[in-house]
Amino acid sequence: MNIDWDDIIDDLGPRLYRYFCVRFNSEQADDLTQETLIRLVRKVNEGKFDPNRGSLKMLSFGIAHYVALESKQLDQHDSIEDWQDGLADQHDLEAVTITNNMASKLREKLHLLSSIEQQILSLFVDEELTLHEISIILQIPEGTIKSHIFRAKKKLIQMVQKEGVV
Amino acid sequence: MKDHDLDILLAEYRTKKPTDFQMRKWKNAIRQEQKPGAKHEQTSKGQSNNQRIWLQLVAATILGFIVGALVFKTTPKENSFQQMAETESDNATIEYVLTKTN
Repeated sequence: MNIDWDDIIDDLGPRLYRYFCVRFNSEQADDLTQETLIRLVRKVNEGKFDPNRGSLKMLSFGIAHYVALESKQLDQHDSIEDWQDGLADQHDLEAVTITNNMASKLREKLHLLSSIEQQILSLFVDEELTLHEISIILQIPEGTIKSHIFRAKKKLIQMVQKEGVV
Repeated sequence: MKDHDLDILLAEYRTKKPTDFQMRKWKNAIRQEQKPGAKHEQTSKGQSNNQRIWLQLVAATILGFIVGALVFKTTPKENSFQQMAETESDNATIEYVLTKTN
């Protein structure tokens, strides 16, 4: 199978890097991206890539998902259960962040989400990955992914409001 | 799946870009991987771990033999007591020697 790896890296490298940046610092994201690309090359060279089962892009993000799992050291300082204050059901995240310029604080709270919620949000960084592809990568039904996103957003809004922003 | 809230949340991450240096580094790493006979870091690490374990096992066994030999060698045998007793008295017994020495 003839693959121009330079072109592949030009395409996938930045995307994988952005994916890792959601949950890791820049230096770690750099190393993890390289590790993912190396494993991708190995898989292809070992004949383990079947284009009929999915694209190279999906395979790379699937590998990235497992690389992130291997590397992630959960260091939970807070439990999301600590954020107990009541909240009205409907809140617009955009209104909260724009009004109070709390987008960066919101992102700081990402690590307080559950592991699966972080994994899902990380994959959504890549705008080209569809919900269907993400469900294949994570081996989770699409409906479950949507539920996780809904809960993650709700938690993040609670966190921001807890800090007395709204 | 278009989600406005997610777009806001992830907007900053979507602007992150690797540097040219990083891109070159990845490409070089892939070229190295493509070379025939490229060692797989994970495999070689695993092999060196196995070698280390076997070495530890062998070293521990040898050490065990040495310690065991020293321990048993220093443990006085009955014959040595008897021999020691007989230097003092021809008819001495082990019990006599033990009594005398304790």
